[in-house]
Amino acid sequence: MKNLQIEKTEDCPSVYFSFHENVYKMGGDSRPENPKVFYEPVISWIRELKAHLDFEADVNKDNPNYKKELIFEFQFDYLNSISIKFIYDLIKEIDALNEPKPIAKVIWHYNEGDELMKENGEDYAHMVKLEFILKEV
Amino acid sequence: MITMQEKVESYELCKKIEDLSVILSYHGVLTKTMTNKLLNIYTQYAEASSLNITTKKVVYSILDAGMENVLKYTTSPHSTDNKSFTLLFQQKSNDIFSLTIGNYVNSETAEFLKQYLTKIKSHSRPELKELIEKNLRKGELSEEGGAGLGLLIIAMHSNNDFNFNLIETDKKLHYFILEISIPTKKL
Repeated sequence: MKNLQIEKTEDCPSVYFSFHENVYKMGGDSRPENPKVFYEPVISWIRELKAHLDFEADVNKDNPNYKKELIFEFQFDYLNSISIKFIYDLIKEIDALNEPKPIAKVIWHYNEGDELMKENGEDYAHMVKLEFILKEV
Repeated sequence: MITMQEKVESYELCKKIEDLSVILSYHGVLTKTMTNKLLNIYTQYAEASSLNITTKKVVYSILDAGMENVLKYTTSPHSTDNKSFTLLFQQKSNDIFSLTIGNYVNSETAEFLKQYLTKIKSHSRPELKELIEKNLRKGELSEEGGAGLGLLIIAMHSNNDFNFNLIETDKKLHYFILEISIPTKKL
């Protein structure tokens, strides 16, 4: 599965999702001019990841040592209103990775004193079932 | 060559702007590029100020949501002259910022805004949060590409301290003015 790597711009966050390295990071400012164009490939990548994980779990169904843990790390400085919606859609897809077994969790980093970003994280945490850790940096 | 009279008028205008504690003002065409420029000016102001990080972000968020709303729903009165957007951002007192945004909307949008803003103005913060959550769960996008969150975010972050006016300019158009008060502390 190919890595998803998007460089950060003035309006768009950086994305680094790598199945092979098991690294999933996203952060920066999010107020893209065309949010659908920006976020749809990111959400599709997570759906593709789900298919890969299901396949890998099936191949390893008799392997007692097989264990998978995915940590999605987000560190946003700003989310505009439409980005709040797309990030929710993305987190829902991450939540779906935890069926049938919980393997994915989110670490939501926010800058010291940034109550707004902390609140965004709390709101998402309240809306999904996955483990959602809030971390001040 | 600038005449003495023009120099005096310029000075008086500058003085008036200073007296009104205007941080940012703009009248003209609103584009995504202009939105970025205005937000950059605000960011420079915020960085030099002693505001806490949450207040800086709340103000940024309201400015951005207000302009996003205009970009999605504005209607130009004339196809050749669409300099219809007005923004005035002031510090009203030590405790309050004021953001006034004006733009043309069609009659249908005017009616929607009137009903919608009247409804959300009566909501408490938990009720506004509930509406935001409901919209997120619904997951729909409008034809304009919005998720119906902008005005709710403005209402929530301003503690519902906003007023609006719709001035009928002709049968098809209204000038929509939204004035938002934003506390500078205790956010």
